[in-house]
Amino acid sequence: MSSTRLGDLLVARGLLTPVQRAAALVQQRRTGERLGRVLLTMGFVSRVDLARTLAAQWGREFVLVEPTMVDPVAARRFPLDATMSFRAVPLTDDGTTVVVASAEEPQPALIETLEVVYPGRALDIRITTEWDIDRAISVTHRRQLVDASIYGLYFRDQAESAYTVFTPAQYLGFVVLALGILAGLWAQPVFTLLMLNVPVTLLFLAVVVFRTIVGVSGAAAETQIVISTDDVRALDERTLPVYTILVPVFREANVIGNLIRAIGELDYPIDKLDVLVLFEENDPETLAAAKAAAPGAHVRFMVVPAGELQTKPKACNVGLLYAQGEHLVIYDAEDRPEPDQLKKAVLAFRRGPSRLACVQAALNYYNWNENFLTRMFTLEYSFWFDYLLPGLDRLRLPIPLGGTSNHFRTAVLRELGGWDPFNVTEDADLGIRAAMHGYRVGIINSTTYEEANKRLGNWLRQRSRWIKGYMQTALVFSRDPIALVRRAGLRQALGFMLLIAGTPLIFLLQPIAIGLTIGWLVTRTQALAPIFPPWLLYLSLFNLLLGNALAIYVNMFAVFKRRLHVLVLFALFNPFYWILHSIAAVKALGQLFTRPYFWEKTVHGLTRHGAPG
Amino acid sequence: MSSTPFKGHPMPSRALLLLAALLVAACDAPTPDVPDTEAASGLATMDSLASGGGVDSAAAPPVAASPDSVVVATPTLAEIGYQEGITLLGAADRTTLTLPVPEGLAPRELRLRVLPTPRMPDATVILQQGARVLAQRALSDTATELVLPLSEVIVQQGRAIVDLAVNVPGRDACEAPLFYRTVFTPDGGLTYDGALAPVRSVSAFFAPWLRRVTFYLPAEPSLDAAQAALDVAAYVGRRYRGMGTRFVIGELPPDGGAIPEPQLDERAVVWATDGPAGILGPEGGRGTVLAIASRGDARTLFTLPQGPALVPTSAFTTSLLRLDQRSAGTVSLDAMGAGTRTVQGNAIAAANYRFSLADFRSQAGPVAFRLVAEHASLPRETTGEATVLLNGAVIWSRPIDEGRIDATMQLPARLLARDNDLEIRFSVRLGEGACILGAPLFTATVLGESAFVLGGGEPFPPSYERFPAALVPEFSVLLEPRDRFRVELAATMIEAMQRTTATPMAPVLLRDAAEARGALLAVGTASLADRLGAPLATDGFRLRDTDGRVWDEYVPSQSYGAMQAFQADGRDVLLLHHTGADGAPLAALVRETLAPYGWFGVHGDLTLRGPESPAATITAANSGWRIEPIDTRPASFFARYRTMIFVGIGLLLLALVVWFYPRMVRRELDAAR
Repeated sequence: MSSTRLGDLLVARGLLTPVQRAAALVQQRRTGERLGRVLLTMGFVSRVDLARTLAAQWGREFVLVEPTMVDPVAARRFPLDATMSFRAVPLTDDGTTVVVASAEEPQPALIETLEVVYPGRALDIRITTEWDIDRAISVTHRRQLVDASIYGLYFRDQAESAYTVFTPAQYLGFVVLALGILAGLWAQPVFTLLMLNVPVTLLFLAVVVFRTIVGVSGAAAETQIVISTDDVRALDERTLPVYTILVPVFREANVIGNLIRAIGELDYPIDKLDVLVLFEENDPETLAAAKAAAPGAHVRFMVVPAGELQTKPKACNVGLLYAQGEHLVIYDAEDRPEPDQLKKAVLAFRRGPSRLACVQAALNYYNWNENFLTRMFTLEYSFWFDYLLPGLDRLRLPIPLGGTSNHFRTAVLRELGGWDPFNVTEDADLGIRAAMHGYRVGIINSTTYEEANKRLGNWLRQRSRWIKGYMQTALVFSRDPIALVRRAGLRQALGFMLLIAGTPLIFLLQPIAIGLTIGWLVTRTQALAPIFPPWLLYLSLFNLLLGNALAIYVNMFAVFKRRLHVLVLFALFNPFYWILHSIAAVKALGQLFTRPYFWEKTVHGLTRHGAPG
Repeated sequence: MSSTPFKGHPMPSRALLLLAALLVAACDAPTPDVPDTEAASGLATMDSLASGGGVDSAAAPPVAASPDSVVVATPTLAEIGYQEGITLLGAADRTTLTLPVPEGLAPRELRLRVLPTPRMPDATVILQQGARVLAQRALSDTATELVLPLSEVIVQQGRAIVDLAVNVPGRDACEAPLFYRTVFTPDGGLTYDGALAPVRSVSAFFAPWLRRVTFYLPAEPSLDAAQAALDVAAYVGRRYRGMGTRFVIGELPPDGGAIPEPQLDERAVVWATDGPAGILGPEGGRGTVLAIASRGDARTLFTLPQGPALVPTSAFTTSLLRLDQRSAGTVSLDAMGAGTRTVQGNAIAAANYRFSLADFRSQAGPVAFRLVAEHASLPRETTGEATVLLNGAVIWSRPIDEGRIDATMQLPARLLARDNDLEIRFSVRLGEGACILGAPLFTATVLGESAFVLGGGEPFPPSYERFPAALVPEFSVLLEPRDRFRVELAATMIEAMQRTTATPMAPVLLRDAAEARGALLAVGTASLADRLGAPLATDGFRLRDTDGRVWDEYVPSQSYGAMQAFQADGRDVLLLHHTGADGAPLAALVRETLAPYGWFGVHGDLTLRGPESPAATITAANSGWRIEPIDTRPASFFARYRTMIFVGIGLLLLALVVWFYPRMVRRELDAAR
């Protein structure tokens, strides 16, 4: 091993100028990152030159790993998690010597592990680039990657996986309920309808009260700024951890370049960013567009191996396997996070409780004023992320995560089993699962701007997926209600049921309620009288009038936080917007039975509006 | 004998010949001196052209000879048109009788069963023809039967017209009309000498009097056959108006079976699928079966525009209306066939005129009556007055003193009914001491130029009262489905209504409702009622009066028959329909509604009959009653198949549960991988 420092070696080999070395050292002193990574992210050296130089420094042979050089049998003998954590891939095993390629300086732990896996062999550890390691892993461990990304959670705990849509007990319960209702309608139709009407009305009432309480709690939390700008400025960048950013993309060649630019604008040391852009195998166009954007060395392109499933959580699970950061966040291709969001997240984790597994940034839309749909969507998101989620946080209730901008402790995320690839709202599911495991989810005062759906068909596809995912999540966590209450507590369990199970139910039942109301108003029929005794009628009227009024009201004040006052009147149109939700809910219910895992792709890049500066 | 009598003759010629044959047979031109044999020979010639002299039709069903039963041609007064008998009032009264004389018979006696007024002085009953007294019999207050010989009577065109008079000598002639009432009951009758002759020609087919006419139809008759049946029904109703002749629809034996040959006082008409019209039957048979093979023949035979002319004089002769004599705005008694009438009496002399609104072809009816009469001068110390009564109510009265009356009086619409009785009564009060036997008779003559004035009257509201006026002269008939049952119902109704009017009814049978023109007679089921927009069109309903009380209720599972008159799309509709598969309630409804007075006794706008309950006729729509449907058809369908629907849904649910189970619950991991 050479005692010459890396910078000197590179200068001596003519791969780095003294000026570049000086600049890199300045940067290294500022962020505390290793020089080699600093040089790479600053673009002063190539990966191959760096690896070759490091090999010389460490007294190891350099090797450029081609996939054909890897003996799959020998490579697969080394466990995938060890391969990932040591960044080392066994290349050949002739019975006497095992040739291993590593992207890091071989540590005693690696050598000990290799000696256990390949006993009696001599070890020939050579140095290669990180890219070569990643590529070798993706080829030799393809099946393991697929299995881990799809069935990882299922194998770890079937009870938490949405792979099984219904448990036998749930299924039996639904069948008995359905047949019971049918028999009741046959034998005692009026009584049965009354018995159905009572819980439905009470459910409406409970949801109205719940959302009002949570919304008001969120409003009270409005003035609580968790992380201030001064806090962010005071941060010592040398203490910042490596941050992994997962960007799952699929057929988004039109927006991938913007994302890479947006990531470049993040206020976070670039050499501490581990950006993993996750491409699907059947999407070469987006990969080509990303390559054309020529991102820095902090950006890695990962091609997710095709498997039985192609969903965003599956891609994220692959990214989780490769992730090197202490924290991890997901952004969609069209996201525009506020630049200091990562630092705020780091500070939130530092200040938060030890069981804080995740912090959620707010989501909002930069094309909010594009059309009626985007305005209604913005109203909804403003209430959801600025009031409802803070309210849930304040009331210590389970928080369903949003689709992006959820920041994790990577280790906790791995402990939780990553995302459920069978759940089409894997984010909401993960938030609830974290709560069930005793972890907390927090909210930070940072916003990621997204593109609101401007087309109805696109909106319906996206919304039906979300509602279907809520149905899946409700089914998963209601498999054992007693365990749910025991683990999460009664209040949290009730909050979860009202929010996750109640939302799709309300959307499904809403058209019936509206239909009955309109039918009664138009015909003045007395036929409904037997199923609406006076006390129930007043309760229904309360739900209809006051419930809707409250929902409209909380939507109205949702926009004040963002100063989008022009949207206030649009809150009056919410009843029409909710009808769209009902349509999506019906579609979701149908898909739950016919295509439970089908991922309704939301098309991005339709807007003509740009992200806020 | 030829089976192709029209060979070489185009159809119009055949039709014309048939028309001519019936015209000659029915013409009521006075030909007293022409022997019947001449007319018969003339007709025979035509019949030989028209039908081959009674040859069989190749395509007609065979006729089976049936043994002769003892046909005693002794029709009662009721059967020849005097269903309520004959009533003569006062000391001197008379009436004209028209006695049918079928071919082969000669009148022998008129046997009258009499109900004289108790303690009435011995009176005299006189039978005379014109000025010739045929018989004169004493009538005591204990007499029960009178036999009047008819051997001397002159028969013209198959009928003998005689006057029957009673003369009661009274001490107080003025009081006689108040007390004396001589009634001849309808069970008296006629006897004949000779025997009924077999029918040898089409022209003689419809004898002056028959007991029954049967039209044979298959179960599902063709449009032409059904049309012919309706035409014959109208014809029988018109020709035998007032008589007891029954018209029935018979079942054509299936598979070409023979129909029995009717007796000589009955007739049968059968629709042949081919061939000419003609008399059917075995060689030397009775000839009482007529085959019709074309719609044109049926039209020619049974819907002649001169229909009224074919009707023999009968009790209804006064309502005969000669349409060709109807001047604009008025219809004279002459035009109605009543002509000039002279009445006589000591104290009361009255002339009655029965008329049907249908005869005026107007829903509004006449608005006034112009009376033109002349009367004898009153004796000294005698006063009198002329009075006009419409359906029993006085509408006009004035003293008589000038020898002539020419006055026009209003006919109140509220008094007008479908069938009306107009009585012109002359009352005379003799002076002191003049009311003794031998007092002079008062004579008055109502001139034929007296006339009804039309136009401007209030029409009847939609109800039975608008029928048959709404149906003349031509109307549509819709039968859904077109089967023998519904043809029979329609034919029965047409015949019954035709009997109330002299105006020929010409039904036009439709293929479907879209062809309907003008007024409509429809027979069908509840669906037809629904399509026609009838007030009652549901399987189940409640009938509520204006106070909301329920007067009748039929649940959807109960079948019922209904007859209703209403207006839809500007046309008058008389609808007969029934719910359920069994039409028996409807058949019973028609039978019960028409008994015993035929269409004369039908008033209101809605008639209902259930399987058990009797027919009830009410005025519903026109009195503000409401018909509330009990159930809608979808609910009825759901109620009917409720259990099956639930079982079906349950089975479907179970099938889905089984199908989804391996996909939703027991997912095989290997299958996914």
